[in-house]
Amino acid sequence: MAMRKIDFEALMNQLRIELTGASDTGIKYALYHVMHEFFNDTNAWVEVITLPTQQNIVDYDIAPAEDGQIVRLLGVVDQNNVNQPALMTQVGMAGGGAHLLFEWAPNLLPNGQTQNFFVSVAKNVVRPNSRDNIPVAPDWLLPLYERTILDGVMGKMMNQPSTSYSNDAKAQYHLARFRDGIAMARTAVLRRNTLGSQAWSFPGTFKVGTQRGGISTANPTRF
Amino acid sequence: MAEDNDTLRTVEDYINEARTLLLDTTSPFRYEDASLLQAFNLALLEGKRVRSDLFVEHHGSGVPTFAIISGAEVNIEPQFRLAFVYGTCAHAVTRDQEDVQDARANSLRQAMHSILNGQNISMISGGTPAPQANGRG
Repeated sequence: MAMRKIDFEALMNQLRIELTGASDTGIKYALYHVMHEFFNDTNAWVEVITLPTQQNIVDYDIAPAEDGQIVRLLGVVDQNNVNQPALMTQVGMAGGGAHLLFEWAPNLLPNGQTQNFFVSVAKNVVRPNSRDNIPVAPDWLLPLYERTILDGVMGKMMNQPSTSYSNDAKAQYHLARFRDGIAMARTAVLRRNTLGSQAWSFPGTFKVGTQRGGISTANPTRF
Repeated sequence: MAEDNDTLRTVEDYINEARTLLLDTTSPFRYEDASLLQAFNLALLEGKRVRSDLFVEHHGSGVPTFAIISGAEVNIEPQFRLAFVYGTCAHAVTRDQEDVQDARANSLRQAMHSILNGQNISMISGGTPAPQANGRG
């Protein structure tokens, strides 16, 4: 879902109060670039795309089911949650899509049917914006990170020269807070919004898939 | 939203308000419709130079221009609309021959820029000079 109007208007009102003489259009343009930097550096906007695979086919085009454009591949797992090596050889395709290339062709299921892969991708904002030139961003962005977005827009606007809201010192302050907010958001994403958990674990390919150890697999592959 | 405010929404609104400031609301007018409309278009050009962000959303890299005084909507955010009234008056008054009107034109133009630049509006000045102490003038 896109940003809620109540959240967006609250942000805009705060910016209108703080940036005397700024136009709504100027604020929205800065807002787009702030969101673009935020999503690019945090990988916070994630979508899991269900990809129906085909036998002997390693190339696939994918597109986001919701808003945004795909910018990065986070991982692919099969129906048994086993990582599938893949590259995203092309991004920025029409409709915000991307092109996937798997290292090997997906296996069929024991019953001969093709299986679905689950592709996790990081997304970013993309134009066109909404009818009111509002960037199309997920509805959780402002409830979670409004303070960070506010600092980003304030910093970028105050960094403009020769305006009534120009202020080099304040611009540095707000931009520093913006980068801090990005760092915290990136960490939160890595830890999957948990407290105290580790951010890294052994990749799924290290998982023992043999019958030794009592782990059964529905689709035994390689050792 | 900017579209919610009806003050100075159309070309006709701007021209009528300019006539009010110029004390030219009774026909036959001192300033013809065509000259005031031209003054308004020139004020838009000046506004584009100083604050292009007021125009990019609806007009991209261009500037709107109006051929007739009508109910055509002028897409400018409400807090900046008064500047274009002052800009229209400034250009109209600049046309006048009297020396005192130059000061008034300058102050109106400065008021326009004050609004566009987000500063306090400067005082409108200019008028008939006071008699000199030596009895001349």
